[in-house]
Amino acid sequence: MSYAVGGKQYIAVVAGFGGMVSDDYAPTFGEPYKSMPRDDGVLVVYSLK
Amino acid sequence: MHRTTQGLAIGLALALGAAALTVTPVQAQPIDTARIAAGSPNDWLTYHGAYNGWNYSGLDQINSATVKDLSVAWLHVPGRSTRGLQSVPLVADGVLYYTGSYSRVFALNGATGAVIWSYFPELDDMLVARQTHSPYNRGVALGQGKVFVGTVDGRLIALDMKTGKVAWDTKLQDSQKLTVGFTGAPLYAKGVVVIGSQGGEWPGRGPIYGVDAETGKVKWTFLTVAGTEDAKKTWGNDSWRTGGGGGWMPGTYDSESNTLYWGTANPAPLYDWSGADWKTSGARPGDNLYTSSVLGLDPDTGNLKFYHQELPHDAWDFDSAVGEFVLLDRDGQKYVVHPNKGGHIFVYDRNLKVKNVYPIVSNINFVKSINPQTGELVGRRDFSAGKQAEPLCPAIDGGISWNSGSYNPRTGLYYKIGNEWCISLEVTKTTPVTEPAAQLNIGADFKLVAPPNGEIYGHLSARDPITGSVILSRRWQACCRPAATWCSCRTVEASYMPTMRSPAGSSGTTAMASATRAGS
Repeated sequence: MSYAVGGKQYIAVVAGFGGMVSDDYAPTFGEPYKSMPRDDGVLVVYSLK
Repeated sequence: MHRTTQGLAIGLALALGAAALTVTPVQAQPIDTARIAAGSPNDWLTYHGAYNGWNYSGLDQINSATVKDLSVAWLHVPGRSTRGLQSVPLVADGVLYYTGSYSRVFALNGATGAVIWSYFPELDDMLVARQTHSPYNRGVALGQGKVFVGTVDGRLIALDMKTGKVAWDTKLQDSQKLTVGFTGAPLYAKGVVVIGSQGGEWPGRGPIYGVDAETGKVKWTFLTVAGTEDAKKTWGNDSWRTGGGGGWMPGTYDSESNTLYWGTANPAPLYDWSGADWKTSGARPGDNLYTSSVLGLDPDTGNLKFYHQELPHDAWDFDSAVGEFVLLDRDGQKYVVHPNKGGHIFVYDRNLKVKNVYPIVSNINFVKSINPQTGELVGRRDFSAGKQAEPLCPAIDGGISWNSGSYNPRTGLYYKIGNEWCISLEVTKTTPVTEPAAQLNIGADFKLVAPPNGEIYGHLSARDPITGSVILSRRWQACCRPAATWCSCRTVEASYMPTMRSPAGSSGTTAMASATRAGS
């Protein structure tokens, strides 16, 4: 999603591995899902430099 | 991100928190139905951005020319994000609200990431540990000076927007019996907070609740399983007791017609052993209303105004609870565009009469087709007990799922993720589960497999939302289930692969924005 504060635009993305479906990823696809850390989500917000 | 980087992020957030004390807050405006309906490029006031369900921002600072200069402004690490962050943040007047696992709510300074307040509800850890669809949370609703969040133990809680203090806390679901609560975001409209229960796999009746935003009192409850006498007749042998039908993702509100649009989940068990005689035999003979349906409800009473059952007697776990309701006007016609987990897009008028149906994934074999004039399933594939010779496509995870698509009014195109995958399946003849119980009722063993003569992959397509004509399609290896959001002329797609990409709206060129592990 995107928003603006004080005339500056931001894009917010929730990041990190997880979800019910992803429980199947490691046995199905192997790496990189096998070694992806769990339970360490991050909200990442971007803007222009 | 490595642990060391997270530590830096926490430190950065703390530093910014001190700085934020000097930031002058934007003058807050009341958040009501009119403001949400009107939308605002600076804000993101409801789950899909505005009631129109577009997931679209008109902001244009970040565009094709400037995206190369995109960089991380700030990070927030919520901690204990078991099974991933799945929340869509909301923003009002410079403050960002989002949730982490265990129904935790954060209010952050939108410019700096500084924590304004946080709220961690007390939960029954033993109960949460027993839940299948848990402990992730998909977000909040805003309205009347409050932040609303559903909890995995069946409560709807209102918090003061400024302080995070609890305004009210209402228990709606008996999660001890059913082990289901709320993971989807609520919807605020007309003084009512609407939220649907989890679950197509339990012997509940999938309630959708309308709760008074001021007091927290329940105004109405709509039972998505046998919610009317006519609907009860569509469950042979009193099989409505086997349940399902949770409205587990937020719908939307159309102020012109005063209608809530809401989707419902599959019936239980997910996979029926009826074979072709599903109208008279099997675990739940009949159409099983109102499961795997889209509903038009009166927000004041919860009464059913109209509906369409996208999959009568869903035997494949292809919910209608997933996906946005995109409200569009074209050539004098008013449309509702809604994806189904089976990989089809349904186009309706505002009374949910079918106007078109088209597939957005290639690997579909639970039906031969869906009649685009009537919505009737053609060439159904109903299972008998035992191992199925051919895999079922799409997979239980869906040709599409709850991850949102986006409509851009400037291009007139609808951007949607699709997944190409299947499951091998062995259907079991189950004993009916007819009383509330902490028992997952699936009715099969299954395993994710590649489509016949192919491989698992995902894609993003840009289409005419009414006709389904494809303008642009991008494919990537492995799979996906990200969401799409429109920002100016570019779509942001976040995938499980370690990049965030921003493909151009019409040309399909890609600019790598940043290295981000993104998922949902």
